[in-house]
Amino acid sequence: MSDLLILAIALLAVAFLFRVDFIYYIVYVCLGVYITGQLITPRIVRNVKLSRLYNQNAFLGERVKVQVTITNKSWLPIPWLRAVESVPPVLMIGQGANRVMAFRSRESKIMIYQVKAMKRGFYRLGPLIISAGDYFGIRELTNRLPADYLTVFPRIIPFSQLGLPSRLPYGLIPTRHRFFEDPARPIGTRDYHSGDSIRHINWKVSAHSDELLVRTFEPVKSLETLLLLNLNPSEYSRQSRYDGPEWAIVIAASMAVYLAEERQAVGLTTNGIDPLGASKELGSFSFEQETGRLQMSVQPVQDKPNGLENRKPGRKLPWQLPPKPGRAHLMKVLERLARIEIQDSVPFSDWIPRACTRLNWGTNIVAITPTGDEKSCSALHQLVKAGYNPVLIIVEPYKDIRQIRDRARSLGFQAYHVGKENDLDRWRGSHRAGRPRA
Amino acid sequence: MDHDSESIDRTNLQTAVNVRPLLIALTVVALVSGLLLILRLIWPDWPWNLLLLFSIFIAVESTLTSLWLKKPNHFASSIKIRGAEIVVTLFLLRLFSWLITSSFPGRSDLYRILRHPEAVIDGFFALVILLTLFVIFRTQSLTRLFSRLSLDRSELPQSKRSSRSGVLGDEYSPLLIDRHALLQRYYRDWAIGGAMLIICAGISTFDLVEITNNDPGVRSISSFSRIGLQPEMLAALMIYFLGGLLLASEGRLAALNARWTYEGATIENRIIKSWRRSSLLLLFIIALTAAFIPISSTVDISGVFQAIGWIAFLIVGLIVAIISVIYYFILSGLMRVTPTEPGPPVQLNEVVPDIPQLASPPSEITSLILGSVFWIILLAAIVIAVIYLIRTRGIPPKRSFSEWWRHLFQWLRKQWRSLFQQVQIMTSDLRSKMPALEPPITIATLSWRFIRLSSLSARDKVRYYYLSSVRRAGARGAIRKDGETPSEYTSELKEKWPGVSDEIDELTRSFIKARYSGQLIEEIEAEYVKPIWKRIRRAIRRRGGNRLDSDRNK
Repeated sequence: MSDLLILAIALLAVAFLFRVDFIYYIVYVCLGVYITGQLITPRIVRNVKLSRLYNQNAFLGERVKVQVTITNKSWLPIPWLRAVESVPPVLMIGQGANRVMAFRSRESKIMIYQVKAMKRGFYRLGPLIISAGDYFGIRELTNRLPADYLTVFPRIIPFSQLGLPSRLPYGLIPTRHRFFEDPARPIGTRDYHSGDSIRHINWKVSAHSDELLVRTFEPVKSLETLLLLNLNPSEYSRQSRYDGPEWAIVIAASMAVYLAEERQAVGLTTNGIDPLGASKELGSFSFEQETGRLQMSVQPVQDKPNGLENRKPGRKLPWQLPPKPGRAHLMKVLERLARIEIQDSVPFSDWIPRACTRLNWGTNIVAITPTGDEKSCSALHQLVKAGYNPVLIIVEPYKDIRQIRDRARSLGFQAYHVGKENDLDRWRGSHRAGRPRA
Repeated sequence: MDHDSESIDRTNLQTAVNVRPLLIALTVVALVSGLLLILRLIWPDWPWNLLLLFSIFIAVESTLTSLWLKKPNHFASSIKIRGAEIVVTLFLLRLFSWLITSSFPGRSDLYRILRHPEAVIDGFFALVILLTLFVIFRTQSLTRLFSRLSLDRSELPQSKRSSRSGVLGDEYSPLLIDRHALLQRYYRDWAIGGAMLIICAGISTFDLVEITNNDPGVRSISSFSRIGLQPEMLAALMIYFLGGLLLASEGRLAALNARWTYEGATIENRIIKSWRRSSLLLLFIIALTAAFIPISSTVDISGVFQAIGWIAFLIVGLIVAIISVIYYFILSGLMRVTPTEPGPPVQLNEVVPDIPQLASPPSEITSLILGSVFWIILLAAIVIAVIYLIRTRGIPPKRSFSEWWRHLFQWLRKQWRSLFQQVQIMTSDLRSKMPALEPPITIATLSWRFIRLSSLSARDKVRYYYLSSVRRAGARGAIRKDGETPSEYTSELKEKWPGVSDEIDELTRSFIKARYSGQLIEEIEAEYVKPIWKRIRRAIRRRGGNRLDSDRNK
């Protein structure tokens, strides 16, 4: 405190006037206390090491344990140190991460708290702010550990089967239709028939028997699937403008998980907005105060005469995650689905052709959209002509779904109605479509 | 919210009850001891050191009372408590000062004090009162400040949800009390007190007896002889400054604890427990280190400061002089005052002012009565104050005091009754032992009635004198017969009491005149008859005693 310094100077002046030599001692003590506080506190704060350990992804309903380690690296003890971790109240379980501790030299302490993943999104954990000082209130300093982020995936509904058709010759999903047989999956032998490939003859078994026998292979299909997720709120009805897109995201996520578990390639493209990408463009992040969830940053609109390019500056065409197999790719898809925000965007029917330009022939394109209007169906029909395999999934409650199904069938693709969770029963059945795997 | 209450109680109890009152008392007493040392050097005959003990007691008591008043479990008025505290303190202080100066007032002093209550305050006591009041108020001020540093339950946020959030600044209203400002204020007060103590320390290094006795006139400080720093002053300086720093540390802990508790932080127990020990250790290390740093002499620097002071004084004086000259010229120019010849001196007639007659000094009785009333009121106030202080602390409970009073009253009543009964028994015994005494006054005889002679007229007085004599004589056996005239009755009286024959004639003559004539009876005449009546009365009484003796001889 500056008062202590002023006191020392004032005492000096008085003592000099009255020639009290002992005042030097008092001044030394006061200065000693002042200097101790001024010098030691910054040293303490500088030598505190902070780290945060936790699982950065979580599924809905999971409890994530966050472990914050605070280490005093110096030989000086810390009289008091307060550590406060900013955690959104919606996620917080229990008392929270707000502790006051004392440290001996070279001591380390762990602060653990839990958060619950209640809603999909991209959340900020932290920053961790520490403050420390001395015994006499001379100085108080702060330091911080930057915030980390937690991604909460959308709700996943387990599927046991999807029943999606595939035009690719090889794959991993067994099927009843003997369209393709995977030579990597022999399942038995049979008698040789005229027309069978000589390469498929099982010579060893044939030698033991007196007949020519050929290997039989498991018929499989390969699904390379692109999820086409329509999150344009203007295409949803007023009643389901919030729940509808969320349900669509749940279906997309569940499908992605199922396909990935079946070791199929899955991709994602959507006309929703990824606030993380947009925030990176703008250079600033905006998190909700109450929930800590990443939200869209506000940006003024600039009018341009062109069509689709006439969008808000910094916003490009809907991004795409091309179909790829593997868990790592699945995590990317789920992370995007966790963050995706609903915002006015490109109309679905206009967007479909552009979204599917770089796909392999025969790719399944699962269009998850609220309606099956004529425009959308026409666009999907174009995909059929291009050699793709579109599937229409309507996520809003619909009165005349049969009409849409008929339309779709006539245009060469399938249409399903999944307006509520019960409609997923066909995909959650206990029997499987194919044979057991080799 | 229970956790917050626990945290409040834990810190407040540990720091407030255990150490803080003692530290506050020590620093205040250290400050006062500086002043006491100065007084001791000036008046070495008075026992100022013993007064230090009383100051310690007062300081501790005042602190504990302040802490007790902060608790919510009492309903006593703080103003009444403070008032009673001061009354009792001053009373005890007076007794204590008499005790340490061995000057308890004697009988004559008590009589003088009774008449002139102001005589109870002498010079020593006046100084002591000032010092004691300083101790009380300073202690109360410090205790109040540190009480405010502690978190009060009323400051806790109402929303439980807010205590769970870890987001700073989220839904928290600022603490009601600015504790940073309180700590600043403490440092400022401590600094001012420290400066005062340093000044006292500086003054104490001079030979004050020489200064006060020799009347040196205007001299510089350097010419005064010095006696060095007294050990008591050294101790006072150490205690004040080191104790003050420790108190500052306590205040810091209280302020931090308030902030942490308010913001819902979980506080390690070790912090509270080790805070005092660690701050004491740190202070000890700093003090020990400072002890090894050489202490230089302040003479040279003092000379520099004195020179600076003189220069500043000269500059200020010069500026004032210049401004005064300018004002003079301005005013003289504006008013255009032309000097004139001074007129002849005015002869002042001696006027003897009329000195009003001083009122006669109040009589001794009046001053005695007023003084007694004052002391009764004061003693009653002291007793009430003591009882109030005791009862508010619950020692003893109210009920036993009432019972004690009732028991006392009953005992006194019982004693009075037994005494009265004994007197009655003695009276009846005496009467039974003396049967020949004059018969008790019967209904036939006239009963005494109290007559105020001064309210009677002269005529009635004369009549009273005669008739009372007749009644008295009748009680002695010379009963006046019905129809017997005063003249006829006179002879019987003379026969019985020959020694007062003339008086009997005179009294009878005056009675006849007052009773039967219409002449005006003057007051002088009544006054003339009165001694005659008294002689007759005396003779009749004597005649009664003579009669008892003669009866005994029969």
